[in-house]
Amino acid sequence: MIIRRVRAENVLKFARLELDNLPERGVILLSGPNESGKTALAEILCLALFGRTRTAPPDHLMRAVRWGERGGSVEVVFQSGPKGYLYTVTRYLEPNGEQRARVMRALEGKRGRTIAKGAEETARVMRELLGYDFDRFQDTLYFTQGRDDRGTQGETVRWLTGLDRLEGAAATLDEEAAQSREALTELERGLEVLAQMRQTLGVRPETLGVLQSARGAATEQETTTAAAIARWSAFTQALEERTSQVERAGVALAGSGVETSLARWRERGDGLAKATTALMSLCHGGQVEMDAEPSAGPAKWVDGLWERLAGLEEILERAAHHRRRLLGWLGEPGETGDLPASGATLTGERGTLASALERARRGARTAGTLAGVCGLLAATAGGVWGGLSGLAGPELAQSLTSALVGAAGLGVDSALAAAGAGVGLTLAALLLLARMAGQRKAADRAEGEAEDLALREKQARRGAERIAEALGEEASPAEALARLAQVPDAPLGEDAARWAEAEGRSLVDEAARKEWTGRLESQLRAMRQEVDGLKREIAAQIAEDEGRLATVRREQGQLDGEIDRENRRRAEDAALQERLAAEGARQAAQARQWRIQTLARELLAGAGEELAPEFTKELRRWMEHSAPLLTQGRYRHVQLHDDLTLDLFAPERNDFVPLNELSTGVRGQVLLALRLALSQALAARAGAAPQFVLLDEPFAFADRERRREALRALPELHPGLTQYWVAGQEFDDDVPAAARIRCTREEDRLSWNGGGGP
Amino acid sequence: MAGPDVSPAVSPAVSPAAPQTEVGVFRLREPAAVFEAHAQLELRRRRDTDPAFDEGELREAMALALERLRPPPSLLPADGDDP
Repeated sequence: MIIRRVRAENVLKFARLELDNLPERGVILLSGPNESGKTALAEILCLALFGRTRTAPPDHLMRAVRWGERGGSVEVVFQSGPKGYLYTVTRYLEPNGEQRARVMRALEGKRGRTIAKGAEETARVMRELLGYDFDRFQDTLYFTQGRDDRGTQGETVRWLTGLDRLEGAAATLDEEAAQSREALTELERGLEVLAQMRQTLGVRPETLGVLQSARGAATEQETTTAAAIARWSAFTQALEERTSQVERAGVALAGSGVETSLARWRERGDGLAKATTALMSLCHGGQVEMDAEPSAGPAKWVDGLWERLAGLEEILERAAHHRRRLLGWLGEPGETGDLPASGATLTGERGTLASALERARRGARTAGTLAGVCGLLAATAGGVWGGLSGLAGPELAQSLTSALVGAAGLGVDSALAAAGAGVGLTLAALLLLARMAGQRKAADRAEGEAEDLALREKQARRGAERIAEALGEEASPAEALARLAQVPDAPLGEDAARWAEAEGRSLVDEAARKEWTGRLESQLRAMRQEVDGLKREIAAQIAEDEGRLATVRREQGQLDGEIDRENRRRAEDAALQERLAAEGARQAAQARQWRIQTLARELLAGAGEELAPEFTKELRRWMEHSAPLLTQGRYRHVQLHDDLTLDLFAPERNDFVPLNELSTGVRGQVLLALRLALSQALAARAGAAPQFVLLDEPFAFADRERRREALRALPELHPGLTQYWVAGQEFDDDVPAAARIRCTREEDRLSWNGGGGP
Repeated sequence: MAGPDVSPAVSPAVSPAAPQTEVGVFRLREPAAVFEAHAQLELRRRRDTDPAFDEGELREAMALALERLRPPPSLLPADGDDP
C-alpha cells in the first residue's frame, strides 16, 4: 500500500497536520530536530492504519491525543491492490477513550462508499487490506532506532514464511484431533456401556422360540381341552336329551295298557326303539370314548315288544290274507287278488245253485206233466182195453178197434195192445213221477244249498268285518284277538289264542302287561341311574378338564407375559444393537476422522520443515543484495541462521564474523538490510503490490557518505518497496527525494501539499 | 494471496567480486502450495513403500489440511460494487 494523504487534528504533537498529494514513488524525507514531530508523524500513520501506536496501545489511545485536548482525529488515504482503489481510513479519538472509525473505498476521482464502520470492523478490514498487523509492520516496514526486534521478529519470520499458517492449521487440527480423540474415547466408552447393557440384558436367540413353542403347545392343549369340554358338554346335553327321549318313549310304552291299540304299541315301540338307537349311537358314535350302553335294557325290552308283536302281526297278516280271500269270494271290488284256491266265488256258486234249482224245478214240472199225460194215456189205454175187452159193451169195443185200426193201422189184438199201452203208460207215468220227485228233491237240495250259501256269505262278510276290525288302527291286541276269534271257519282264533296264552300274554293280559311294562320301568330307572352316573363321571371329567384348562390358561398368561417381556427385551436388544451399530459406525467414522486429522497434521508438519530453509535462503539472497548497497560494497556475504542471527564475511579477516563484533554503524546498516529484506518478503506476502516503508532514523549511526549512498540506493533497492518515508534530523540537499517535509520543534501545525522534491 | 512461483533455493556461494544487480522479486511460496507439493511427494512415497496404505484417507487428509490453510473469506465488497 502507498500513502497518498495524511491528516490529523489534535494528535500527539500536532494540532493540525495536512499532507496532501504525497508522491507514490521515491523517498519522502521527514527532517527536523529532536521533538519536532518526525516520529509523531510516523506514529500518526500507525494510529490511522492500525488504531494504535507504539506508545499508545489500543487500551490507552488517549495517550495519542494532543496534550490539553479532549479528543483528536486522524485520516489517511492510501492505495492498495492492483485495482486502483483509494481507501480512506478515519479514526476519531473520543473524550471517553473510545474511538470511532470507518474505512471508505473509492475509485480515484469518484465518490466513495463506506466499507467498514466501527473500530472492530475497521480493524478487520484494514488487516485484510494491508495484509499484516501492527506487530508485523513494526518488524518489517517500520524501522525505528532503539527497538529490540528479537522479541517479535521470529514470529514475524514465521508469518512471512507462511509457517504460522501451517502451524495455525496444525494447531487447529491438533485441537480437532484432540476433540476427535476425546469423542472417540467417549464413543468407545458408550460402546462399552451399550455392550455391557446388552450383556446384562442377556437376550438369547433361542429363548423366544422356546417360549413361543411352549405357547403353541399351551394353545394346542387349550384348544384340545376346550374342545373336549365342549364335546363332553354337548355329549352330556345330548345324553340327557336322548335319555329323556328314551324315558318319554319308555313312559309312554309303560303307560300303555291292554286297551292300547296295536298301532300305538308300534308307534310307541318305534319311538322307544329310535330313542334307544339314538342314545346308543350317541354312546358309540365316536364323539366320546365310552363303553356304557345305558339304553341296552330298554332296547332289549323293545326287542321283546317286537317279538311279541311279530307273532300277532303274523296272525294278523294271515287274517288279512284270509280277509282278502273272503272278500275275493264275496266278489268285493278290488279284492279279487286272493281268490280261494278252487276259484269259486259267491256269485259263481250262487249262479250254479240257481241253475240247479231251476233245472230241478223244471225237471220236476216236466216230469209231473209227463206223468200226468202218461196217467191219462194209461187211463185211456185202460179204458180202451176195458172197452175192447167188453167191459164197457161190445159196440164200443168194436168202434174203438176200428178207429184204432183205421187210424193207426193197428189191428191186431187191439185190446192187448191197449192193455200193454196202458201198462206201459202207467209205468212211464210212474217213472215220470219218480223223476219228478227226484227233481223236486234236487230242487229242495239246491234250495238248501242256497240257504247254506247265504249263510256262508253272511259268515264271510262277518268274518271279513271282524278281521277288518282286528286289523283296524285303533284295535288293541286283545280286541284284535277277540275279533279274530269271531271269524268263523278260520284257524286264526286258535293261533291267536295260543299267542295270547304265550308271548302275547303281556299284551292282552293286564296283570302280565303290568309285570312286563314294570320291567321296562325298572330298566328305564336303571338307564337313568347309569346315565346319571355317566353324567357325574362326565361332569367330573369336565371339571378336571376345566381345571386343566384353567391351568393351561394361566400358563398361557404367564407365557404371554414372558413372551411380551422377551419381545420387549428383544426390542430393547435390537435397539441396543442398532445403537451399537450406529455408535460403531460413528466410532469408525470418528476414528477415521481422527486418523485423517492426525495425518493432515503430519503432512502440515512435514511441509513446515520445508518452508524455513527456503525462506532463509531467499532472505540471505536479498541481504546479499542489499548489504553491499548499504555498506558501500564492503559487506557482500552473510550467513543467516535460523534464529536470524547474522555472520558477515569480513574481507580483512577473510572469514565470517558475528554481527555484534562489527561496528555500530555497520551493524545498523546490516540490520537495515535485514529489515528491508523482510519488508520485501512482507510485500511479497501481502500480494506483491507496491509498498511503503517507514524508516525512523535509519542512519543515526552512519557517516554522512554512507547515509548519502544509502539514500541514493534506497529507491532502487527493492522492486516491491516504492515509497520510503525516511525520518532524520537533516539530509543533504543533493540527496534525491520525492518529497521533503520539514518539521520544527515550535510549530504544532504542519501542512504539505507537494513540492520539496529534488 | 497467491505467492510467486518458487525456484530452487539460491546457492549461498556467491563470489565477492560478483555484485548482484538483478534479484527479481522475493520468492515466497504460498504455504498451501508448499503443503500440496509436500503432500503429493508423501503420497508417491507411500504408494511406493506401503501398497496397503489408504490413499483415500491421505487424500482426505490433504483436503482437510488445505481447507484449514484456506484464508478466511474477504470482508471487502466485491469489485464493481462502488457507486
